Amino acid sequence: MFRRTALLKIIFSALLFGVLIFYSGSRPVAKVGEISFFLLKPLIYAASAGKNILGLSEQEIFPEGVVNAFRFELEKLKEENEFLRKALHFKDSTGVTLRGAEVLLYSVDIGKEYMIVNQGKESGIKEGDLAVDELGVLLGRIFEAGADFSKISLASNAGEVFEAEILPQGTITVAKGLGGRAFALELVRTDEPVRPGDFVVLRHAGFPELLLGQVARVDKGGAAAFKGVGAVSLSHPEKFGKVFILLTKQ
Amino acid sequence: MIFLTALSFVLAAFLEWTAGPVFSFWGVSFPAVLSAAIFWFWRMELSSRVFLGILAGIFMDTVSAYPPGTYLILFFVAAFLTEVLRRFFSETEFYITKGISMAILLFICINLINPLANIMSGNGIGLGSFPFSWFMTILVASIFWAVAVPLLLFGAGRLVRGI
Repeated sequence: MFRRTALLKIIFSALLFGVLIFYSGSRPVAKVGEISFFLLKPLIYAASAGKNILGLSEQEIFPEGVVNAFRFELEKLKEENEFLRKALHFKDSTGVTLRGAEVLLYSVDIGKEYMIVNQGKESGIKEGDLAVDELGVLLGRIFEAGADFSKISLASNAGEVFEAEILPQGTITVAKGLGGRAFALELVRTDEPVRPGDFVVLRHAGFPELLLGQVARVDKGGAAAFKGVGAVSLSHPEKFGKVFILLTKQ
Repeated sequence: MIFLTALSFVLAAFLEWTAGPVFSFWGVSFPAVLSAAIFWFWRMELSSRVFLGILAGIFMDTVSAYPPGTYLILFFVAAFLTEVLRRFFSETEFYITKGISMAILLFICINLINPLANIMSGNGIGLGSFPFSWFMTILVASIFWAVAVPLLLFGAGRLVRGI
């Protein structure tokens, strides 16, 4: 009798497993994910609050007076930004809209850094959209978008690849994430005058230039056609409570 | 038992998300949830283990850096692998055998997750898309955590019982 119950449990679990894996794109399974996120939300908020309380977060906390000064400055900048947007037709010319999002969680999952933000498909966010921090430095790419949340994989994670340009000389390169906030810049010709300290920006059709990192190491190419160039990411995702998602026109 | 299991998972997730990014070794943070799952797997029968694996997998997939389904498969594999290890160690209830099994499972799970994630995202095993140094980093970190976690867990257990 016991064995029969155990067998039934295993069959039920295996069926459930099969449905969740092979029908992962279906609406019911997506709903399961949403319910799961809803249930985990309090824990995510608690973890974020816990980080701040324990001082494990590197977010800078300013005194009230400084915050008020920032708020005033922010209002001024908002007005100026709106004026410049209209003047430069930013949205029309680049086809990109900025969507602000609050960071719910920043964590490291077996070597991969990621963030969960509170905006999702309902706000027009989709997989593949890019995320930048408040300073305009590229944070990464949206790799999963739920109804009201999205996950950002950091640009320097292993497996991430971007077409980039090394400034000021304008060398075109391919930036491959190595993990640990580092990039390998590939296809840099031996005769290119690349130096440590040069900036690396993202090359993306219709996008403004976004800062990706800074060259940290240049190997001598020798007789090879290309030389090894390493760069480090300039983003500090652990420091930001807000990020911006670049929404492209469909 | 169910309450204790759920509580340990909640605490493990809290620990991983708060202190994880700070206490990481070679870019791999303390795999608290994975350790909790493996710890409970050893104490359960296969059917309960598979069920717990699926439940933990659904929750972990919701908040992980890997494609949906990766943790689900990982826990599913770990549930069956525990059975293999239990048979290998003749179900001996001894700290050292438990510790060794946990170390083996942790080592396998940490190293299995990236190939699994690649399969889930439709790139095949796709090991070529990752730099070799990345795999070496994960390998070294997995050895570290596979040794450190059982030592910490069973060491602390012995200490508590001793007191």
